[in-house]
Amino acid sequence: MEHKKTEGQDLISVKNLYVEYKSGGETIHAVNGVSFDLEAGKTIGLVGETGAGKTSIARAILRILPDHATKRVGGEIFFKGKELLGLPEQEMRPLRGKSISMIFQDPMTALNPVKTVVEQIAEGIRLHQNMNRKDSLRAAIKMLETVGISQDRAYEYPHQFSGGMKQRVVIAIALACNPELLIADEPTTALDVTIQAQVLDLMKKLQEELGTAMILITHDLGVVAGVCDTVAVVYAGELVEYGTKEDLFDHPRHPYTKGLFGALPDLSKDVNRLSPVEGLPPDPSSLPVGCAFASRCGYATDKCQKGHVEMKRFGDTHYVRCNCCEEG
Amino acid sequence: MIRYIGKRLLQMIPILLTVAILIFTLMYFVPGDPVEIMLGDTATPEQIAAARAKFGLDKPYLIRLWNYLVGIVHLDFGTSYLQGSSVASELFLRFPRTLTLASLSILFTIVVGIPIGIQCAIHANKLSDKIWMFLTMLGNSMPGFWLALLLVILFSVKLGLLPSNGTGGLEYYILPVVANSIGSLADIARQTRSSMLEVIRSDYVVTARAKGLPEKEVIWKHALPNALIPIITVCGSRFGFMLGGTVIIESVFSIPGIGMYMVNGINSRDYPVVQGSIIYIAFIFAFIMLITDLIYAYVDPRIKAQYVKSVKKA
Amino acid sequence: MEKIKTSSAAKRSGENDKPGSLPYIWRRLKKNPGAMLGLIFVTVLFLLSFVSPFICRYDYQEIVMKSRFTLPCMEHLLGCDEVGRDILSRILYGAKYTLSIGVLSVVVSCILGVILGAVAGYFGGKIDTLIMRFLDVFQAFPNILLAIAISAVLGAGFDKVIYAIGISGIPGFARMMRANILTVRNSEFIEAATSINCSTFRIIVHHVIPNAISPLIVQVAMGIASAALSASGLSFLGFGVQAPTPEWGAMLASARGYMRDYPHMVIIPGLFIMMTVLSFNLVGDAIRDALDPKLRD
Repeated sequence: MEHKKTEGQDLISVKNLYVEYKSGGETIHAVNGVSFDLEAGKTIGLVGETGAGKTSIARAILRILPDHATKRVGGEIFFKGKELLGLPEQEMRPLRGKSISMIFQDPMTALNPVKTVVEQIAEGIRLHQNMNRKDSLRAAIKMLETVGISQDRAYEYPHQFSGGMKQRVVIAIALACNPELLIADEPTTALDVTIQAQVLDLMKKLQEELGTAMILITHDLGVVAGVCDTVAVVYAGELVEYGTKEDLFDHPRHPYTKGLFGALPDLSKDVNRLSPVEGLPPDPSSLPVGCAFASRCGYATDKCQKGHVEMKRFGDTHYVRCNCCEEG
Repeated sequence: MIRYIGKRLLQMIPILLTVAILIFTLMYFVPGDPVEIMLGDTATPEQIAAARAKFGLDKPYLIRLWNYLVGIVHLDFGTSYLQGSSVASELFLRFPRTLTLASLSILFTIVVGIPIGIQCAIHANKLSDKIWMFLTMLGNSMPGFWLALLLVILFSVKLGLLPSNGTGGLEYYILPVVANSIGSLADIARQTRSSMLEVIRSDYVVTARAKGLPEKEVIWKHALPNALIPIITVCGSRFGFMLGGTVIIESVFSIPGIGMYMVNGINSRDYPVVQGSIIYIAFIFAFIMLITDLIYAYVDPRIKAQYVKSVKKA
Repeated sequence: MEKIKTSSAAKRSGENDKPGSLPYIWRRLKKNPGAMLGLIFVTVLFLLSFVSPFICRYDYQEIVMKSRFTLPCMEHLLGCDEVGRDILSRILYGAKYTLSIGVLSVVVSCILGVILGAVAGYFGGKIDTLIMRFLDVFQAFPNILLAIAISAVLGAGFDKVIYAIGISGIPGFARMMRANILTVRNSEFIEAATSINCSTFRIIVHHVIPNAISPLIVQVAMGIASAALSASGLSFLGFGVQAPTPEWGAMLASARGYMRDYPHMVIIPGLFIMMTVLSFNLVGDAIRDALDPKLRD
């Protein structure tokens, strides 16, 4: 893909990323040539259905894909000019949790049940900031207060916390070392609707305070509208549309994006979990030759079925992968 | 926590009582008159009647049961028909040997079995894992007493390194412990492996990796403590299993513990001995399971919280 | 990711049988060399134990004093015992004891355990409490000790070993069955069956048991393995099948006195016990793996 920006400007630049899993005897193509850039302090939203490969992209950046199932990771990921995928493990490890950190989807399972929450936060601080145990615990308690948990609950275990509180702890772990990039993998999906807004507000507030860039993975378009600067729509492991928030919300071009946004009758109502487009995504172990969306697309032609569709540029910032969208 | 232990001890009473009644009743219905066996063919009816009266065998079932249960409460397990000695004092004398054998066995099992399981989980599906998994399967399928005989053939008869029977120093326990442990060791290695594999793939281990922790710390500090929680229960029941296993192992190595006492009791139809040994081991087993539960509760904060809560309510 | 895995798993199982069904298990079992070897070993052993009197050169109980303690050689492939009986003939003939004790005692524990567990799980309430407390008492003993206690009462002999081991295995089956029933009972299709006025018995037989059958098969295979192991232990102690019957545990017991000089008499029967138990364990393990969705990738 052709982006005109130079690498120096971007905090992170993902180029032509591939992730393949093995399952039984088959290869599962989870991510197929994804590229995007993100400047420091900005937020990009990765939007798409469950199973589109969003989480795989996130884990590939941190290089925490499951060893036993991962077959191949290809492409390049530049973080402040440094290529991550080729980095030896010893050089990758100091980046994890310090420069890049991650908030996980399910706070119920993301915390170690036999360790106190403060210890789980302090662990990262101790590791990356060379603190002794006492100082790191103190810093962790401060971090807990930052995310709105009072210090007298610091020495409790995760099972004593509600879902929203656990996610606050997860956020505290992620932000404890003041990372430059935060990857949030559906941070609010598992939470109650009322808690979702609180957690999101907290993340936004902290992001602004700390100047952290964020990759926000979600299928909640309301969240995208509220938080993101740019948006990438992921379908079957590919980006099908990529642009600024305004580009996508005001002028969606790809039929899939239109479907997604068309299913959003009113931003103030909670309809985000609707499956917006008829049909199911293709089986990632045998992807079609042509456009992956063709089987669900009302505009699909023979051309779509036959050959791979390239990304086309519309305006300065807007990219679409579709044969139907011709004129700029 | 102390109230919880008290509560658990109280709960054990009906179970142990039923155990005692069950075993007593089973032995009551055993065909054959022990007195006739004891006195031989030459005994006169008067002698037999006198012996029956002496052991209380002429009384009805319920009275005998009551007397027996009252006896147990006073730590009196009756009198051996053959030796005329107190079963309880014999049990107390022999118990340390049986306990030593079972404790050393569980220790050996844990110290060897769990690391094998961990290594297998870390290298899951590699060659070393497959070899170990096959070996543990083999160990799981091996009769302990057969391994005991093989070990004696090799280490006592051929190499002359270790004693083949009797009691004494630690060297007398080496072969019995290995033979008694083999099945449990294999079992615990397999269970540790699968528990570990499950935990290694869990979200919080990914969280730990995402923090930037070195892989060693991820495994030892985050995965292992969680993986071992279910293993604690397995170890407890395996300890009990080994107490039972000592019955066979003791007779192979002629270790004068409770197991051999019981086997001799069965062979000579000395029912107070059999009864007493079984009930005694059942009691010990119950205590071990209680201790296991307590350790479990202590290690897992989730369970601990439950207990604390239930105690508060009670 | 979850969706990816389930959809491809469903596609791979292909031939329309749902994971957990019997044809599905069989198809996965066929792909497991260990399990197939185990099945073949047990089957061959079973057949040989019946035809061995006709194909073996020596009668299993023929005493030939001049060939006492013969080591394995061309004449006697596995050697001879302390009274000159051919060990190979005895092993093959004796296989039927180990196999049938293993299978029959599991039949006993399975039938009684499944009934108790199903009743406890299905009806719940006081019946459940009563049955479970009763099983608690049974589980207050180490398994082998319970078997020894029962056989002390019943006496020695082939059928008595089966009862002793069968009864001591009941709690395992009952608990497993109860747990399964509880899972199945709370699922919606049972509610549906109840709502169209199915009788309780019909619900148990036609809906609950079929859904609990897969874990039962695993327990049966593993149960046979441990029953065969316990049986050999009982016979070794003299509480099970007794000499001169060529049960393997009993053979070991009588060989014990001669093991210093003639280790082959000890090694061979034990090896056969181990391989038989191993076979059942391999099969049980393979079925369990086949049923565990977590192990599919």
